[in-house]
Amino acid sequence: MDEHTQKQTFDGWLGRHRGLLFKVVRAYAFTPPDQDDLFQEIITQVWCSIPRFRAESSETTWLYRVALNTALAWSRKERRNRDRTHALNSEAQVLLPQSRPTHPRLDWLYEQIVQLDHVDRSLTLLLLDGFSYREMAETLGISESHVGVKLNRIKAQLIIKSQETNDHEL
Amino acid sequence: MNFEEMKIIWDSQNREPLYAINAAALHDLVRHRRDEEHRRTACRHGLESLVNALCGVAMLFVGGLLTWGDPDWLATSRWVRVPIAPWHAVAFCLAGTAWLFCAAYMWIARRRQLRREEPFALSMQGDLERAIAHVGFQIQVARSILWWGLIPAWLAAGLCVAALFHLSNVSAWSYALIVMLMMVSFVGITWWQSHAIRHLYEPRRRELESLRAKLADPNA
Repeated sequence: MDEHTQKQTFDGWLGRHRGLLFKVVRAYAFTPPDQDDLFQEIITQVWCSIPRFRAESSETTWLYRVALNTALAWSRKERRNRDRTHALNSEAQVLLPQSRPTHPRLDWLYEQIVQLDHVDRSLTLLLLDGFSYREMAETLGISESHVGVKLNRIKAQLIIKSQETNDHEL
Repeated sequence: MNFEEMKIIWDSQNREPLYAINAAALHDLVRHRRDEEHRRTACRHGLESLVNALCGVAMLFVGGLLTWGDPDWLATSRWVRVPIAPWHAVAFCLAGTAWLFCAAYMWIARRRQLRREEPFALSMQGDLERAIAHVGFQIQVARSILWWGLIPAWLAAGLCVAALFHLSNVSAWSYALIVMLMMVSFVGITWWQSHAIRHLYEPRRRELESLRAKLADPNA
């Protein structure tokens, strides 16, 4: 694949599905420098993954796979490596936070998601974005029935937490 | 709040993106980050192999010089103060060969490590398996490099220093000092390797294995 085609695909994906990447970034990184670093890491991996994309899965499934695997690997990286990367890229920020009205319910939902472990967090993101059990199973490399059991537990857990939180707090 | 409501809240962020992208910096950063990673890896491994290979070649060169060099010219050298014996040249040649062996071993080990990093996993489980295998390989290399990399290099350096000191006719104190320095640095590096295995690689492997177990267990 030549670089021009790769760039076109990359720009197209980013134009159509950037929101998906932002969700992964917000669920896995919590400070603005970390979010920027993770986003840069994800888009670098997305760029590198383009020649391997065979359209056997949808673009969004592919991007979620790449983004979640990258986020997981990024979380494992030693802290000092991340600090070094920040130092190198401190002048070139890619992710620019937007001022927007506060959404207490959305913020609450993210708070609940980040409290989950990495596996459940990934599944919750896929579930909320409406992926099928088959797609989730492929993304995580586990069986569909296995996905079902986990999702039932996660859903129940989220509903209980929402009941525990008073409506006026949201 | 039921799950459908949560989904509506979740979808609300699609209308108001949380971030904007600095498009001007985007492509340069992707390229820079990718190239930087390749350059850093190539530099680290290339430099390590080059330094080791140069040491080996330098030792072989000195061994060759002692064997085939002009004895009169060598006798004028400041560091040759005793008659050159065959064992001096043999010591340098053995040390050079051992050092080249270490350089080759380290280069091959690093190449294997890099090759293992290349495959691209399509699922989270595949990615975890790959990461666990990679940490396992790092532990194996850290352990084996001690026996196949460091010990031969130290023996080679010791042999080389012994021949050099004997040729220079230095005092016994110099021998004692260099032996002490070599022992201290050997202990230091050995300690660092085992510290890295215990406190860096092993905890990382345990963390990955627990994540894999969690992924495999539906009730976890």
